[in-house]
Amino acid sequence: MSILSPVAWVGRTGIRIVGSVGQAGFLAAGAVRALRNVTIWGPNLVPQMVAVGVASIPIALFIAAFTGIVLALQASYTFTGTVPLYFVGALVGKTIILELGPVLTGLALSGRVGANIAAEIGTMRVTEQIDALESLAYDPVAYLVVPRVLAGLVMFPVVVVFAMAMGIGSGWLTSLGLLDMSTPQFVRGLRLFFETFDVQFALIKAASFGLIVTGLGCFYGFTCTGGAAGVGRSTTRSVVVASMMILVLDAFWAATLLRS
Amino acid sequence: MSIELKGVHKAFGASKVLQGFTLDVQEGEIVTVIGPSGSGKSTTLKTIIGLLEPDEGEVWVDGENVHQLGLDALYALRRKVGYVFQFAALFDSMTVRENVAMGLRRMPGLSEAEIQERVEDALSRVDLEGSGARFPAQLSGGMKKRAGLARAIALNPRYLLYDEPTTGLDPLTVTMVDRLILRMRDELQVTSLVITHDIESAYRISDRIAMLFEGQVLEVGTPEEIRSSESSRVRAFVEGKPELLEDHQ
Amino acid sequence: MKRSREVLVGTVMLIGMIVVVIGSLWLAGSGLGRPSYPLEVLVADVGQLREGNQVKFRGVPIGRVDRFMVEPSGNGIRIHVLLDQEVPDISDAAAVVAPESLFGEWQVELVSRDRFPRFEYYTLSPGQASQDEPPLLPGFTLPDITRLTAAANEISQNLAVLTDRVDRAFNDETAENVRRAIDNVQDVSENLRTLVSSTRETFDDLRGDVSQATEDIGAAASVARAALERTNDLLETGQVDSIVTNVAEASKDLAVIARAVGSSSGEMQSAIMRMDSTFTRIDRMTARIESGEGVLGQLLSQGELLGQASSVLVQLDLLLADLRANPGRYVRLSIF
Repeated sequence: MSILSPVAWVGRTGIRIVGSVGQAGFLAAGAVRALRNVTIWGPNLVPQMVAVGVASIPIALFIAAFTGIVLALQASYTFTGTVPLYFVGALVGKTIILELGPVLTGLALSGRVGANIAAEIGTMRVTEQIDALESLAYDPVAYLVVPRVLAGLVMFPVVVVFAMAMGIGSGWLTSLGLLDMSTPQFVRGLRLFFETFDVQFALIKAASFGLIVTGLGCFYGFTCTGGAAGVGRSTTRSVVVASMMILVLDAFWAATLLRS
Repeated sequence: MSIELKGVHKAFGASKVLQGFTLDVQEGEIVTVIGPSGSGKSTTLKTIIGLLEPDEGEVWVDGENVHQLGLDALYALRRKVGYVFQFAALFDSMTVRENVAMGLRRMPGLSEAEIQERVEDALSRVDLEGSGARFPAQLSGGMKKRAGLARAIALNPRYLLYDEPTTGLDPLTVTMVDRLILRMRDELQVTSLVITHDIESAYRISDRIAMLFEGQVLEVGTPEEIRSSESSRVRAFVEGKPELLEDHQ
Repeated sequence: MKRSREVLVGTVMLIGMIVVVIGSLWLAGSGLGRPSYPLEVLVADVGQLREGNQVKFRGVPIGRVDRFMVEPSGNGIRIHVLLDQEVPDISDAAAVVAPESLFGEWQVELVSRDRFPRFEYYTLSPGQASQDEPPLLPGFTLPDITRLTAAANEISQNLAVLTDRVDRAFNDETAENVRRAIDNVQDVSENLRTLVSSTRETFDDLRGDVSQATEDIGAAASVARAALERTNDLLETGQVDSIVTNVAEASKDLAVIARAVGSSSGEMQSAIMRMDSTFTRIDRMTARIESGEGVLGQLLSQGELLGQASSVLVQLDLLLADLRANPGRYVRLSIF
C-alpha cells in the first residue's frame, strides 16, 4: 500500500480492459474466419435461432405489451386538455418503434440470451467441453460462437418486430378501452409522424444489439475460468456489459443515423 | 511414428508449469506420466494436441511439429489423436450416442449408418451398449469416464491421451479401465500416453513410467525401474512418503 | 424434430418480415394495391407540406401527397398527389395548400376557385401549359400562421407610420396655413368690397387707375382661388379627422391582435371580436383610400403603402376566417 496504489489500480484496470478488448477482437476475428466452416456451424444454426429468437418472443411480447399500455396511459395523462388525444397514437408508435421496442427487448434478451450463452459456454469451458470439441477436430468458435452470433444477428430484429407490433397493439387497445379514443384517432396519430426509416433504424439497432449480446455472451463464456464461481462471474459480467453496450450503441446509432 | 516432446516450457503468468519437459513415446507403447497434482500433467497433454502453445520447445506428433501446423492440418492431426478427459467432458446437451458420434461426424466420407455402427462398436467396447440414449447427467462417474473413452476410441485413433483415467473410480472400474487401455494397445496398436497419479494403475498398464516433478521429467523407466528407483523424490511419490521429500527442501 | 424446428424458425421469420413490410406500408399510408388516381398541383411554394400528407375534398381525406417536382423553369413546384378515387368534378378547380392545424399537419385541399377568390392561384402561363396526363390544378399556399402573425405585426407598423405621416401632414403649421388661407380669402373679399364701393364712389375719379385695380383684383382672386381649392379639398373629403383617428386606432388594435396571436392569451375571443370591428373599419377605410381621394390617398400611393396593406389584408382575412372557424385551435396553441 502506497500513495501510488490508486495509480497502479488505474494502470491495472487499463491493462485489463485493453487485454479484454484484444481478446474479444481475437475471438471476433476467429468467428469471422470460422464462417467458412459451414459444415460445423450450419447444423447448430437453426437450434440456436430457436433458442435465441423464437424462445425469446414470449418475454419480448410481455414487455412490449406492458410498455404499450404504460405509454398510452402516460401520454394521455400528459396530454389531457392541451394536446389532442390522437397524439397518444403518435407518441406510442414513435417511442415503441424508435426506442423502447429495440432497447427494452435488447435489455431483456441480454439477460435471457446473453446470460444463457455465457453460462452455457462458460460451463463448457470449465468442464473442458470446449477442449473436448477441439480434440474432436471441431473449431469451437465455429461450433459455438458463429451459430449463436448469427442467430442473434438475424433473430433479434425478428423478435423486435414482434415486440413493436405488440407494443403498438397494446397501446391501441389501451387507447380504445381506457382512454375513450377511437381506432381512426389512434391510427391517425400513429401515422402522423411515421417514417419508413424509423423501422429500418429500429431493425439496424436490433441487429447490432443481437450481435453485441450474443457476442459478449460468447466472449465471457470463452474466457471463463475458475469453476462454478467463474461461470457465475462471467454470466453477470456478460449481462452487465451487454446492457451497457446496448445503451451505448443506442446512443451511437441515434448520433450517426438520426442526425441528418 | 510417435509422440515426442523436446524441452517444452509453459508458464501461466508467474507460475512455471513446464520447465524443459522432454519425453518420447514410441509407437505401440504405453507411457505413463506420474507426478503430484499441479505438476503440469494435464498441461502436457493439452500441449500435445495443440490446445496450448508451449512458450519454448517443440512437440512432435506423428512426425509433425504440432505448433507449426496450420489450422486445417492441426484438425487433421487431432482426428488421429483420441483424448480422454479427466472428467470425461461429455457434451451435456447431447445423449451419449451423440457424444460418441461427434468426432465421427468430422471424419470425411462416413455415412450415417457407418457412424451409428462405429458408435455402437465403441460403446460396446466400454460396456455401455444400453446407455447410448442417456444424457451425461444421468450417468455415474465411472460411466461418464467410459463414455468419454468411447468417444475417444470411436475415431480409431492411432494415439490416445488419457488424463487421469482412473481417478475417482471404484476399484472394479479402475481395473476395467486399465484393461481397456491395454486392449486398445494390443488390438489396435494404439500409442498411449497416460497421465495419472494412481501409481498402482501405472504399474499395471505401463511399458514405461515417467516421473514428472517441477515441470521436468525426473526419471523414466520401466515399472520395475521406477519401483526400485534410488531417487528420494520418486520414492516419496510412489511410496506415498512426503517425509522423504523434506530432505531436499 | 429438426425439420419442425426449421419450420418454426422459418414461420417466425416470415411473420416478422410480413409484419415489417405490411406495417410500414400501412403506417406510411400507402394504398397497397388499391387503384390510385394521379393529380398535380402547381404552387409557388409548398410551405410545410410533406410527402404523405393528406389531400382533402370538402374535409374528406381522398388521397395523399406522393412527391414534389421542381418546375424545370425553377418558378414553382409541382405537387404530385395520388387520390384514392376519381378526381372530383369541381368547377374551376384549384388547390389550397394549408395547415390543417397548428401541429404541422399540412394538407392539400381541392376547392372551387370561387370559394377563395382572393387567393392568387399559381398558374402556368399559357405558353408553358402542357397537356400532361395527370390533371394540373393551380394552387395557392397559405402563409404559415407564424408568418401571418408577423404580417399582422408588419401591417400595424405600416399603419403606425401612416398615422404618423398623416399626423405630421396635419400639424399646426398646416392648420395655420388653412386658417391664413381663409383669412386671406376674407381679406381679399373685404378688400374687394371696399374696392368695389370705393370704386363706385370714385369711379370717375379713379377711372385712370382701373387698369391697376383690375390687376390687383386678378392677383387677389388667384390667391383666393388657390386657398379655396386647398380648403375645398380638405373640407370635401370631410372625414380627414375621422380617418386619421381610425387609422391610429386600427393600428393600435392590430398591434394588440398581433401580440395576442403571437404570444398567447386566453383573451382570444375578445381579440377576435376586436379584430372583426377593426376589420370593417379598415375595409371601409381602404375602400376610400383605394379610390385615391384626398390627401390621405395621395400619401398612401406615394409611400406604396397601399399595395402592402391590401396584400396583408388578404392574409388577415384568411386568419380571421380561420380564427372564426377554429377558435379552439388557437386557444390550445396559446397554452403551449
